[in-house]
Amino acid sequence: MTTTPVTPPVSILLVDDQPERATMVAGQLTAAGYNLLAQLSSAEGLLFQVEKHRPDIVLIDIESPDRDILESLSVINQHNPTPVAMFSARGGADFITSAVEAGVSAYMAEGLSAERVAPAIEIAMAQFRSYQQLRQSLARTQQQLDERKVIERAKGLLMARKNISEQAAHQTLRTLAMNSNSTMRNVAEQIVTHLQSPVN
Amino acid sequence: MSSLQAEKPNLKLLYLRLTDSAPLIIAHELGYFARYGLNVELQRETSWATLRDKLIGGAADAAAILAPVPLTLNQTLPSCEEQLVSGLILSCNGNAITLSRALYESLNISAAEDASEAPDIGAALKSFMQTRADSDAPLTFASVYPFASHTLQLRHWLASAGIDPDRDVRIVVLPPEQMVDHLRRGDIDGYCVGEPWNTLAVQEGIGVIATPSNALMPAMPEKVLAVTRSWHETNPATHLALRAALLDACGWLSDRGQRRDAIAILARPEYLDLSQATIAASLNDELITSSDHTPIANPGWHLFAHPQTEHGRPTEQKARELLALCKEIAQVDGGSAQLFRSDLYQQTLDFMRHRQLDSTSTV
Repeated sequence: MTTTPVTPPVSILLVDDQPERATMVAGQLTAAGYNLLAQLSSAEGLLFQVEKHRPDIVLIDIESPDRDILESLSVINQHNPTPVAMFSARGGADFITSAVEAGVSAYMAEGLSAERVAPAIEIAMAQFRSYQQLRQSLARTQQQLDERKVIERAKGLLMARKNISEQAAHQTLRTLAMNSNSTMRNVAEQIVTHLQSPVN
Repeated sequence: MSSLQAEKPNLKLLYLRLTDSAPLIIAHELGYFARYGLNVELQRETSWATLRDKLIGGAADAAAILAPVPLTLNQTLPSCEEQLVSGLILSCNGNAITLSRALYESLNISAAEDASEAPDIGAALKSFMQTRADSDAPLTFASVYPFASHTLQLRHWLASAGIDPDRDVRIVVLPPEQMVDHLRRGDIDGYCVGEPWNTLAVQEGIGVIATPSNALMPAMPEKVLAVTRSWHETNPATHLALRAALLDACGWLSDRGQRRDAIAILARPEYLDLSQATIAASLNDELITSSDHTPIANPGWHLFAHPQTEHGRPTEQKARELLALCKEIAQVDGGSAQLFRSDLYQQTLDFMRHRQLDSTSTV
């Protein structure tokens, strides 16, 4: 990754323990022409990395307790001029609100203009958000799979015990769900528990 | 109940795993929030920086936060237009400075000194540091936030022993609940943190308490109830109800007779998730400096707000005193002292008095 001598792109250090999300963020940032200095999966060695690379921005998960290391760099060590400060420009609280929602926190080098770094942070925020959506949709898919599994199981048990067809079993489940104002899944779960217990 | 229409009855409050988060937990468990028409959800956070940003970003309504945080927001979030205001100091004191067992043992403190009520550990640390070579890695101490009473207390303790907190040691920031693990791993040589994380290190045999914070700076404001200025302006009645409920809870906690129940509640998995024996020490004003020592009395380890004392009143004078100490760490803006709102505290007292009158007159 080489920088053009005229206008060096904003340099970024990314700290993320979610490898898939890190890849998404890193990919978008690089595609947008930013200089991704390093990608760390934990804050171990973060101080060393910051001192070595002198990044313009450090991006880190807002929930990461490791970000406290960056907080201390920003103010505590007077004699240590590592230029890292909390980023909060572009309308202040509004920007923080969207950062908090996306789950990104960012620290930027002192003296850098907020306008220069804000687009990079917005890219990260967008990637964090789509990762969130991806996870949610994965969770939904998993839920649907589980649901289908338990319904198939209940149908199988009904077919075996009551000696009825697959279609009749399906109809039974549907009627039970409608009559008890419940979901097919709930009814199926009840049937599985019921028909499985040795007492019956 | 006297008429108080909360603009926003459903609230989310943030706190950290610390003994002095007790007012929020007690107000929740004993129904003080409900008494004022509030339905509160408590959310535990790990780090002060995360809690601060969630509060500023509007992900929560209010939080128990370190007293200097609202005053120094300009330094930690430069160019943030939002401000944090406080109308209630929840508690004073509550911290201690702990050294790793290994560091303590290399100080060669005499048996007689060790057995005394207040051994001069600072002086011993200073002598020990003089024997160390320049090439030795500097001793590392941890605080919980750049502008925290903990940083101020740690710096004060080091400086009064003749140790320069900027040059002679390294001070880093770690979340309170990670202190003990870092001390065990040897990443740090000591820390200043709120209870129960000092007592826990002692009970696990990996740390020795050098001093409780109240011995350094008595009645120093520790945790405040903070909301953003815009939230306060939109929800003044809700804010008042919140302060009243929490002042009730603080008053309940001030009664030593209630502490046993408080310990049992705080210990639960959803709150501090630690043993009752660990939480009990500071709430019982008992200082156990080392696992081989008997407890000594440390009255006022936690001073909770109470309508009859001034501990809970956030005055500009108190804010200015904190800011003066913060100036040692970095340039701070003295104008922020007015974010401590004594008028809001007075409003809470007046409201609670009227409410009491109302309830006695209707009986």
